[in-house]
Amino acid sequence: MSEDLLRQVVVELNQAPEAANRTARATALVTDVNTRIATEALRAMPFDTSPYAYQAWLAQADRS
Amino acid sequence: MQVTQIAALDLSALAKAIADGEVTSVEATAVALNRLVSIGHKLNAVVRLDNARAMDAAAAADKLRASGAALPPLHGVPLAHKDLFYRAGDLSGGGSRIRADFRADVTSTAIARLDAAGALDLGRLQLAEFAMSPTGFNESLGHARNPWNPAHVPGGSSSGSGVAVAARLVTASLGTDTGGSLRHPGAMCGLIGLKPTWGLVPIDGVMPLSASLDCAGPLTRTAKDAASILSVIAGRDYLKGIDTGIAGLRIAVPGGYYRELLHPQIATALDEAVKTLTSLGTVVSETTPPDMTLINALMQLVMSVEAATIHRRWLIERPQDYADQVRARIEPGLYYPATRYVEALSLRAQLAEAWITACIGDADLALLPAISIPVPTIAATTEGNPADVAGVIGRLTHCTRGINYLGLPAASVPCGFDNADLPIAFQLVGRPYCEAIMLRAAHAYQSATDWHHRVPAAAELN
Repeated sequence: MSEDLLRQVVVELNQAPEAANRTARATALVTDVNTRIATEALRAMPFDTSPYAYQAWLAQADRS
Repeated sequence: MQVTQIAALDLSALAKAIADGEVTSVEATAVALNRLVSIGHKLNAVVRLDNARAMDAAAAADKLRASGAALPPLHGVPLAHKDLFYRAGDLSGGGSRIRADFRADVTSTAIARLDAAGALDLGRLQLAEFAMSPTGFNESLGHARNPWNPAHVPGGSSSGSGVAVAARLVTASLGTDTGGSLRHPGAMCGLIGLKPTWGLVPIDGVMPLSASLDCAGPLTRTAKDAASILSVIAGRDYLKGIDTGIAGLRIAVPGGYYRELLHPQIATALDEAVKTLTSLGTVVSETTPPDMTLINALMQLVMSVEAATIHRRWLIERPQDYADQVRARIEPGLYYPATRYVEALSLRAQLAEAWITACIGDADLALLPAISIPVPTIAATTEGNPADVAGVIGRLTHCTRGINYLGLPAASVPCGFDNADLPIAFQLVGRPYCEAIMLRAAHAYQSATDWHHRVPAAAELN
């Protein structure tokens, strides 16, 4: 993700202009994390998974 | 009983002494308040105390005991907690300038359960600003100091809780853990820091950092004390069977990632701990962790997105009221697409299963370092080259932060001291809801070792 795009996101969508001044220090981290997770999701996330699957898995694990 | 004798009691012993009438709640509470004021303020561990209310509650507890009524398990025991736990009508600052004047209108369920169990609430303890630092860093309120050596960090974010229990100011304290914030002060102050399975302990009425990762739990000197507190705040019995030993228990020791940054002194202490556990009848095996870079990235995204959602208004209106180190950890959450966040949550169950298969395998528990490096100085985590400071902070969470994304229960267990006489700990991690097994293993280990009996000079008991 380019720094310009990230600045636009914090200014226009998150309305946080001060954050835009500090964008440079977040760019490498955000780009790396985005790439890793996007790649893994394409590779390993089942089509019909859900953000609530974790709670269901936990409930199944609770045998007390 | 003398003041120093009362202060030396752990939670189980103090609760029993009060129940048996050997110590009154008024005596125990006066000792705790005096020590919180004198030693606690020296170590910058205390945010606020309510002496009058605490002494009134202690007198009421003694009156109830004298009446012959049945007593709850923590009857009359004085405690104090991280300043994130709300009590209706009281200030709750979250270690921040921004919330310095915030008064809660609810009482957290965890605190209400301790109230119902008879515990007394003396006040609130120091923490990292908005619970955002593994060292306890707090620019606006000042850094809490490690009782083993005040030039060193106590670990955070539940820094005051760790300091207060290690320095024998109170016998137990509630903290929270989003990326290691119970296990860091546990490891660095020589305590059990128990992060329960995500969701086991209610976190309503606790200022959130990241709802998908936050866990509330105890810091105590012993595993048995941790079991006592967890039994109350989780509403399940963790004391049952804690004394039954660990013969035949299987413990896996993951290598790879978890050994990458390991300091030789910590490696030696961990190896000795494994030998002790083996001598107690456990069967030890070696395992290989999966790609932790991915799990750490997922944790970072979930934490920063959820934190940025909560903090966005303040990031817009009061950015100057955050310490730069804190704001720098929240702001990346403003940049991630929503699809990444949903993916991060959606991948959670399968990655937790994969981690358990790889790291625990056929065993009951995994044993990891709690922190991989010796306890750093405050200077090393606040001064000098920002990249060096960030490096130290990153290394501190190397073995802890991923566990929060996985939501698994984990606990720091003290297992020695380094050459600078600062504590070393291992970390036990288990499958969801295996807190009873974890506490049984930690209790057996503590029954065979004396690390948890050592007292820091700052406790002023010698």
